[in-house]
Amino acid sequence: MNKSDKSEIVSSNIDKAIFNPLADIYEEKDSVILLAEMPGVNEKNIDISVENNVLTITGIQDEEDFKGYELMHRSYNTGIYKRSFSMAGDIDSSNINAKISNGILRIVLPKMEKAKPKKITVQAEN
Amino acid sequence: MLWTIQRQFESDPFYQMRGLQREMNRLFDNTVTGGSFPAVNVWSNEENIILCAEIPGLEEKDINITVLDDKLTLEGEKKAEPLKDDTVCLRKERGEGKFARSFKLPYNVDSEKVSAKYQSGVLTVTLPRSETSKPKKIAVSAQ
Repeated sequence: MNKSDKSEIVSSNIDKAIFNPLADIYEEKDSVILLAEMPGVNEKNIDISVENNVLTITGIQDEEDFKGYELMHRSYNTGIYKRSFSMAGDIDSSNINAKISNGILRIVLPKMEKAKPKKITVQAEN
Repeated sequence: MLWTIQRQFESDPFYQMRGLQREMNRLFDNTVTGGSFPAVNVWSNEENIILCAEIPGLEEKDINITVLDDKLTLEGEKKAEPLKDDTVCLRKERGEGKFARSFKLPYNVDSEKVSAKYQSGVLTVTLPRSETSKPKKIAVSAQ
């Protein structure tokens, strides 16, 4: 599915509630890892985009609909998870990798070559 | 003496006020403090109860469901992300740790027939009503 199809999904779900997914961000030597909680989101309904160093994640939750049942108690709503993060300039945005499992979206943002710490060895001169 | 429940409520002038207070507390429980974990939606009809819970980031085997008569308990542990020694944490919003939550169901359920599935971080438990708790129709015969 290409990007324009996905934005159509978002605009056709415009009446849904929008939530901020909880996120953790970790920095490793070569990459930055973003974890976002998106329960009820199928991998087909996720859109990740990068524009002007802003990473936007969007996930549409599957709606709960049980025919012939009456809702007795509600403590969460279903809708759309959406959140934007501004990235430092040293992220290689062409190699971003994302996967979702058990409702956790995991995005690996690799650092650009020049941003990686370099080790300079000092040689002793005789 | 047999009092109808309705009559009791009417006779208590503070009943409505307490109800309002309860509603207000419920409102703030869910939105400000986040409420109990996991958040659940409960659906029911005469035959079954369906309970959905948002528990992202677990494995199927890490969720324990126990059912006894009309009590359901969900237990599990949200494990922390394994980190390498040189990893720096820049932001931490997701919670972790053990959780347990119990529910009293509106009728007894058949614990043998309870089924559960865990998909995309949402647990769905289907609890069929036990035969003995189903309402029985009593025919009135004219003499």
